[in-house]
Amino acid sequence: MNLTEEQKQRIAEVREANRETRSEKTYVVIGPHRVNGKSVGETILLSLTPSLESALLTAGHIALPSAAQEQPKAPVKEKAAPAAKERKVTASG
Amino acid sequence: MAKLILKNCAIEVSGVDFSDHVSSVEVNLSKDEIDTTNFGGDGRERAHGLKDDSFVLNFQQDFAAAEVDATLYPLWDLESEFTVTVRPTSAAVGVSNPGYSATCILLEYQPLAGSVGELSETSVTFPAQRTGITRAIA
Repeated sequence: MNLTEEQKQRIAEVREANRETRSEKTYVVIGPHRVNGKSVGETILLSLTPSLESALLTAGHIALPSAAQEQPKAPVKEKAAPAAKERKVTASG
Repeated sequence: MAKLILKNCAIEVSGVDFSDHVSSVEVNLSKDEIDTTNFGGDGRERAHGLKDDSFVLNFQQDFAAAEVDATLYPLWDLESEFTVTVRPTSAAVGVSNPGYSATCILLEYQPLAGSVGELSETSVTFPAQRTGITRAIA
């Protein structure tokens, strides 16, 4: 089948539109496995499609830097809560 | 190079190093067989057709966060395209340690299968998309 240049260009445009676009972002490795050679805590620049980014974030291999910074705060709050309860028990008893 | 005893293959799925959870690996390079037999001879003639490459990895299942199931399920569920890379050893890619890689998808995934007392393993086939598996030596 012989296609004109216009048809070829149109096909290329449709293919490009259907293909997921990749966006480059910096992430922090948070999982136990190395990601592209980087270990936990190291930052990494990845060019990912939305679905692949979602898959890696969901799996727990990487996190966005903002989310990774928030993670250490959570255990501190959890530790603080039981201490307060213990004090209340002591006071009432 | 000496004959290779498989000990430390490097396995990466979507950039994540799963070497410590994979017990066997296959790199399958294949092309469709196109029959072009004609009246020009006594036997069949064939031509190379489209590539149909794949990786087959046997994972030791692990349901912990950021482990096997947590990684493979989203790749299957979200229908992502991702890179699979295999090297004979964990050393850097080179002439004696070629890297085989491809953009793959995951069409079938069996998270759990086995009998009592067995190690939970799952064999996963990663079909290569478009360009097939490429071989790098540098």
